[in-house]
Amino acid sequence: MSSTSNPTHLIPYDSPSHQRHAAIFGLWVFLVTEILFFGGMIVGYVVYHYEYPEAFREGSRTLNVWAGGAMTAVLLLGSLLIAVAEHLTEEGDRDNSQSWRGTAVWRLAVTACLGVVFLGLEFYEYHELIGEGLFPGSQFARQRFTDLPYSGRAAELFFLMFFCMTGLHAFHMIVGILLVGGIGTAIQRARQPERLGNTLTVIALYWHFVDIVWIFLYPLFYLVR
Amino acid sequence: METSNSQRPLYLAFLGLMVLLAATIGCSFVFSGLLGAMVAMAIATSKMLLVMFIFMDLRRSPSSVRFAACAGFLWLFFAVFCTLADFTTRGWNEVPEKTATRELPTTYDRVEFEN
Repeated sequence: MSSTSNPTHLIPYDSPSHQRHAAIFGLWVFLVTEILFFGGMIVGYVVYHYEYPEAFREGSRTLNVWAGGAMTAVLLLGSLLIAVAEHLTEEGDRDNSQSWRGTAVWRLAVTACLGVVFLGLEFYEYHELIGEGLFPGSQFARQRFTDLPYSGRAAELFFLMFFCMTGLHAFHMIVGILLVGGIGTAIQRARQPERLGNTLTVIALYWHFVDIVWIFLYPLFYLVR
Repeated sequence: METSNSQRPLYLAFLGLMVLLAATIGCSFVFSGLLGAMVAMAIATSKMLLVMFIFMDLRRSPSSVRFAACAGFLWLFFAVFCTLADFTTRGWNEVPEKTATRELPTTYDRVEFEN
C-alpha cells in the first residue's frame, strides 16, 4: 500500500500490505455474515415462490420494471465511481502525490449522491404501492387478486417479502451513503489522505456488496412476471 | 486526471454490467415462468461475478480472501438447496397454490383447519 520510507502500518502488523490484507479479510468475514443475514430471507422467498408461483408473477407485474432497471444502473454507476476512487488512492499513494485527492473526493461525492437518488426512486415506489393499497396488512387490497388462491393472501406474501427485503437493503444503502460521505469528507480534510486507503477499500467493498444484493433483488421481484 | 491503464478493466466491467442489465430486462419480456427465472438468475450471477472479480478485486486478492468469499455463497447455496430439496420431495405432487380453493376468513385471526 505504501512505500517503506513512509511506513503507515500499525504495530500489530508486520507491514502495510499485512495490515491491508487483514482489513480486507476482516471485511470479507463480515460480508459472509451479511450474506447469511440476507440468506434467511432469500430462502423464505424461494419457498413462497415455489408454493405460490402465479401469485408471485401477478405481484411482480404490478412493479415497474423500468424504474427497477434505472435503480440498478444508478447503483452500478456508483460502484464504478467508488472503485475508480479506490484506484486513484492506490496510485496516488504509490506516486507519493496528492493530485488525486480532488478527483477521488469528487467521485465519492457523486457515489453518495447516486445512493440518495436510488433511495429516492425506491421510496417513491413505496409511496405508489402504499397508495394502491399494496402494503401488507389488514388494509391490503386483496380484491385486486381475487382470482388467485387464498383470496389474494398469497399475493400479499409477495409484497411482504418485497417490502422486507428491499427495506433491509435500503437500510444498508443508508449506512453505505453515510460511510461513503464520511470517507470522502475525511480524505478531503486529511493531511495524509493516503493513510485512509485501507478505510476506503473496506467501505468500497461494503458498497459493492450492497450493490450485489440489489443485483439479485431486482430479478427476484421485478422480473418474475 | 487521465484514465490510466489500471482503471480500464473497471470501465470495461461497467460496460459489461450495463449490457447484462439490458439483457436481463430484454429476456424478461421473452422468457417467463421457471425458464425466465433461471435466465434472470444466470445473468444476475454473471453480474455478481463481474462486480466481485473486477470491482471488489477478488482476482488479485490472496487465496484466504477468496476462500472467505466462497464460503458465504457456499452456505447460502446449502440453505437454498437443502430447503428446496425438502419442499420439492414431500410427495405432495401439487404446490398449495394449485390445490387451494378454500376461502380464508377476512380477519387475521388464527385459522383452524378441519381435518
